Amino acid sequence: MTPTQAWSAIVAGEDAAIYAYSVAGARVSGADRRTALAGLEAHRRRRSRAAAIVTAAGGTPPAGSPAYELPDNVAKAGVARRLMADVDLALVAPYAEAAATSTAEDRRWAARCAADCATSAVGWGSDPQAFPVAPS
Amino acid sequence: MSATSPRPAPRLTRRQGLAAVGLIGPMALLVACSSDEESAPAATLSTEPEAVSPDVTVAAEEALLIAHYDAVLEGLPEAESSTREALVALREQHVAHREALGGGGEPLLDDLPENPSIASLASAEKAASKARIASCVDAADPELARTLAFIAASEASHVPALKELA
Repeated sequence: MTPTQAWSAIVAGEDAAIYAYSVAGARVSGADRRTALAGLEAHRRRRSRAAAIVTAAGGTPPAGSPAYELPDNVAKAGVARRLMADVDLALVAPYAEAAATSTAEDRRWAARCAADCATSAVGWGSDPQAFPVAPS
Repeated sequence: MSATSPRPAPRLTRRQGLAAVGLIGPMALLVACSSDEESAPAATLSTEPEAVSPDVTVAAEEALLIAHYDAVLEGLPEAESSTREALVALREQHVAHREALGGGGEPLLDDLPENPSIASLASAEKAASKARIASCVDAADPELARTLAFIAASEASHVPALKELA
């Protein structure tokens, strides 16, 4: 996988996460709502920076899908929390891939994002993961 | 750095009622791809006397974390079985990390805190995650960089889990 492919996958994944957070974040309240809004902003920032990396490498960032399939009962706070955990967890491997294909600051940032997404997922109730530490 | 994507604002209507798998499926597919593109030299266990292979160094740090967990588990009251279970599960993840790094390296046990606790574990995990990111940046081998990014993510995620136990 080229760096451009890896970062394009991040853009697509962050687009899905932004959508999921927008929907699920509206279904939780109180401290969870604030966490979701901060998370939404973090996903937007990451999407923006990943897209800039793709553009800087001469590529074209993928366009987001206008809508994504969501769980049926996302209106329930528990399902909404699980959805946010799932999209965060789903981003860890693409960021690890981006770290593998990049160098220097882009790699550092990819690794940091992997850590932030994994941490956020646990905050939403996911069990901590060992993660697939090496490609099988 | 606000989002610049021109997507329409997400609608809060329910989408077709399929599982979240539909949402995360495309990303999951990408996970399977490995990077052959950047043909950086494969990590070699260096024969140069001064260069310590980074995975051995990190494996030793993982061994220290395992010893840290052991010390906390040893001092844990019998009654706290759910805490024990959670700590054992986290400890196992470090065993997996250490194995992924080749399993070598001796822990510097003098570096264990004087009074090991769940709080000291949380601090150690936080520091470990930062150190893995630094090692990731320095890794010559992309596969090692990937492994270290995964380990950094795992260890960062242990911090909130431990804080919940403390």
